[in-house]
Amino acid sequence: MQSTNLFGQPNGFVGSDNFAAMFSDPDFWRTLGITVLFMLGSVAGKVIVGLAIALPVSQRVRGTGVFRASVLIPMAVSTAVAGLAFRALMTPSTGLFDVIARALGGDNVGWLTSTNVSLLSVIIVDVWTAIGFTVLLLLAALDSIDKQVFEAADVDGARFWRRTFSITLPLITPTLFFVVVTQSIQALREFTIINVLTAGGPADSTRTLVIDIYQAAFGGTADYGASSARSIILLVLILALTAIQFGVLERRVNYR
Amino acid sequence: MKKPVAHIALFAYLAVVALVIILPLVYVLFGSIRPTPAITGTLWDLLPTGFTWDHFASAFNRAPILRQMLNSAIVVVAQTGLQVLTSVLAAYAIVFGNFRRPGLILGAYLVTMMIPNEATVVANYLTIRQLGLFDTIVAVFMPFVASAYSIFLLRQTFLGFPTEIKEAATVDGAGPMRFLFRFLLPLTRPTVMTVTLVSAIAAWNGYLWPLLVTESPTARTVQVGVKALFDEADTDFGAGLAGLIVVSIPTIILVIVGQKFLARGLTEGAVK
Repeated sequence: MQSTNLFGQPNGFVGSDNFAAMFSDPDFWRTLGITVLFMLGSVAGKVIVGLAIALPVSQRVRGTGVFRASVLIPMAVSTAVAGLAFRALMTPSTGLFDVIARALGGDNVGWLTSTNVSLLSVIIVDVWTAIGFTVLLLLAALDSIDKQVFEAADVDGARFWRRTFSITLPLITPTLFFVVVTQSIQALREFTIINVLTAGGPADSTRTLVIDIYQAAFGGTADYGASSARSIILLVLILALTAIQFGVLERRVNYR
Repeated sequence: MKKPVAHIALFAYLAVVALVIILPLVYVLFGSIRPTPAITGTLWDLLPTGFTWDHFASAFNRAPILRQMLNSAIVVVAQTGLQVLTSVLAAYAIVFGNFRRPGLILGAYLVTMMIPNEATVVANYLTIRQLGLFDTIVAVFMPFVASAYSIFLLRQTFLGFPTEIKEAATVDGAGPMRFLFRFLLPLTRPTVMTVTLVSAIAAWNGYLWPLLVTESPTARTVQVGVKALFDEADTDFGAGLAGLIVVSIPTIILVIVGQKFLARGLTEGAVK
């Protein structure tokens, strides 16, 4: 709520000017839209991939134990390193992703250079970095299901898919909720992956709220007022999600 | 799941998944040891073809990686050490301090957990500038010497500490300090280890904040440094890849050694 002069010094109280400027800026609304798209895509990807790995591993078939260890690998590298490794994979034309796309008879995709694909690319990397977290959480929930429930289902002749959708998933909904809310918050806060991969580009197609906060204050303009106004929006969004998180956790305690 | 066909299908599926998960690291590792060009732009990039240390030498020549790793190590030790110390003392005071309303103090701490660091970077950045700490290592770890999350985890564990032992220790004449360091901490070691490990990994992996408050290559932490190396080594791709490998070694070791505690830290509070 303060303006800043050319040297970034606070310049006095300006009321809601920074907010008025922000809300009348179409770029801000575009940023907000991209942020929501990134959040939805990232959370959906994490839940689907997490289940696609945790469900089969939780079957405890002999010899699958080693796969439990492989999900720890994304946890062992920093987000910056993961982002840069994927930047190598997504290098136009020589990167492995384009090599594979061509080998499959396709064309270079432009993972980081096409405005249509860039958001999907950063989502893919975000999902990869969270594999360890999501799979470990889901496995812990799956492992804690009473085995007798499954034995009863086996007696009733329930097949794998039916068992999964009618018994397993409903039993782990509290954990699924937890993953959805914490990962929504995490997606709203994600900076490193986007900064490392695309820096918000191309043509601002991956410019989320946090990237916007960073660019406004440190991207050359030093507009701390605009940056702070956007920080408040981020804060409000995250507080809302946190309230939901506590609400859900509270309910869970009562279930038991 | 007793039929052999289903078993083999499951095994094959999991093997493919595991390969996809490790692909980025394998790709970087093979590239970092492949004689120039590090990346050939063919499917051969999937396999290790040839061996050289040249890219590592080049990486160390291009950027002060060792200095940056030392910076990161200092940040990890200072940030983790101070954070664990302040958290242990705060949690001890909340649980055993005989305050009238300990929940109120804890609540005040927990509120700060809801405020994301990303929303406070501008304010913290201006503070660091005013303090004249810009571009120093102290600036990198200073905002993180206290952590509501660590306090909360420790408080939960301390609450479950048997009062009989506390009373016995007091009867034996153990003062608060002696009780804390001789009885409480050794007996709650798993949680203390978890808090330490989570904090250490977060400190090593920090990116946004170090990026903002450091400027010169020799003041950077290794995460910011390796991004700069990657950006600058445009024509020398192998050097960038080698840098990624060097930077990852400490955390890979930490995760392997501490996976038990890490899993605990993640599931704590999430799965009862």
